[in-house]
Parts: sequence; C-alpha cells; structure tokens
Amino acid sequence: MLIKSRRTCLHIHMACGIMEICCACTVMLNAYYWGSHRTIYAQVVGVAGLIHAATAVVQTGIVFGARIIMRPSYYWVALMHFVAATATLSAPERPQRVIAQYIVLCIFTWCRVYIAVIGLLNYGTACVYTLSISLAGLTMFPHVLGAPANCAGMTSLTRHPGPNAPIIFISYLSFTAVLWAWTAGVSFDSMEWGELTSEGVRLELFDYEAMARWRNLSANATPEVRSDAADSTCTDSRPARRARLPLALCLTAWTKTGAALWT
Amino acid sequence: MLAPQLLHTCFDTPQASALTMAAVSTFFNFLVIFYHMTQCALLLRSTVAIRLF
Repeated sequence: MLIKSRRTCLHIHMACGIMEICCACTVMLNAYYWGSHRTIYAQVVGVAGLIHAATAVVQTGIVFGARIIMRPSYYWVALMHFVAATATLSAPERPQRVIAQYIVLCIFTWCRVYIAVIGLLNYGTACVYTLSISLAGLTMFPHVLGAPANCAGMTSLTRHPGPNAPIIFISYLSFTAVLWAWTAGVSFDSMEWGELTSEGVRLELFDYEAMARWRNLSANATPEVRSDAADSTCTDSRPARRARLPLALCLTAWTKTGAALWT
Repeated sequence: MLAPQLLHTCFDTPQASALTMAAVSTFFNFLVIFYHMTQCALLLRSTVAIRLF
C-alpha cells in the first residue's frame, strides 16, 4: 500500500506526464503538420516537465528493479528531463526543444514496450525491469542529446563520428555502482550487494491470478449459495447500488475489449 | 555564456531521426495508456463487483 504523500506525489506525476504528452503532441502537430506554432503549449510542456522530473526524483527511493542500476538511471533520466524542460522554457518558440523533452519522457513508454517484448520472447525475464529501463534509455538518449553531443566525444577519441550517448550512459552506471559500493563500504560478494543487485518487480497493476481464483470460487459455489446471492442482489433496492450498475456494465464492456486485445 | 551555448548545441540541431522517434513513441504512448486504463478498469470493476455482490 502507498502512504498518502506518495500517492499524492504519484498523482501529480501522472497528471504532469499526461499533460506533457498532450501538449507536446499539439506542438509537434502545430509545427510540422499545420505549420503554426503557439508558445503557450511549449511553456506548459516545460512547466509540466519540471514538475514531472521533481516528482520522479521523490519516488526514486522505492523504484523497482535492481536498485544499484535503477536509482542512478532514474536520477540520470530526471536530470535529462530537467535540463530538457529548462531548455524548452528558455526558448519555447523552438519546437526541436519540445521534441527533445518529449523523447526523454518517452523513455518510460519504451520501458513498457521492452517489458512486452521480453515477456513475448521469454528471454531475460530474471531482470526484466532493469533490462527494459536500460534498453529504453539506450534507445532514446542518442535522439535526446542531438548529433553534435553524440559525436563529439567519439570524434575526439577516434577522429570518426560515432554514437557516444550509450558509452556515456554505461560509463555513468559503472561509475555510480563503484562509488556506491565504496561509500557504503560494501564488497561485491557480500549479502548487502546481493540485495542491491537483486531484481524487485511488480509488473502488473491488476492481479490476474486473484481474478482466476475469484472466478473459480464463484464457479464452485453451490446452487443454493448462488441463488441466495442473486436474491439478495435483486431485492436490494438501495439507490447507491443501483447507480453503480451502469458503471459496472461500462467497465465490463471496457475490460472485455482490453482483455481480448491483451491476452 | 556556456550554458546557453551548450543547450543550443544539444537541443537545437534539426534531427529527422528525433522526429521519427517521437512519432513512433507517440503510437506506443497511446497503446501503453490504453493498456493501463484497461488495468485500472479491471481493478475498478473488481471493486464495484465486490461492493455489489
């Protein structure tokens, strides 16, 4: 269960994320399809991005996956989001900056895509969340940083342009892991290190096993019990329960469609 | 002076790949939102069903 402050933080996080997606899509459609640009949408994207990054930092302490990888990764993403939102707010008339910020946000989307792919392939499931977040970051960072930042480091090393963002990211993760172990005084073969690197995950919001158990329980109930339950439902005339029936029917229709698509 | 120059270097470079990636990500975004809404609806339906019956 979530405590109230965390739940409030999560609600603000989700609201800002949805607002950011909607306004960023509006900016992109305006700039590249309708040929106009209104800075107010870009400003909303920037402010929502700042709040989204701040609430992400607050929630990083309870992140899923291997904490030794996930905490530095989330701090990195939040920092990138913060910088991108600042860049958007400093020049809201430039849609490229909104796109860069939107791409940072889409790391969380690509994480879900990779979780689905890994589940489909049934490969790497032992560390599915950590692997998905890392792959999502590696997918999106080159597009966020832009061509000059991507190529600058590699060009200076090899005199040939090349993708630099993945190397920066992996070096950062290795550096923070070693720094964490050094500052906490943890050796790599200790139990504490094992806890930091073990995968903690809850992928589904809804518990399908509990639903199956509930259905089995209902199916195995005796006819008397079921008829009693039906009678008590039919004879119940309280308006609050009647008012919930359309909601239950709508939810049933929605979930049947969703279940047909996802299972 | 360095910070605006750095922001300009990183974020103001026109990248066709960035726009393509943003478009692809938008598709996945709405797919993921629909998926999570389905999960929330399942939860809500369970709650309503328990309260009703």
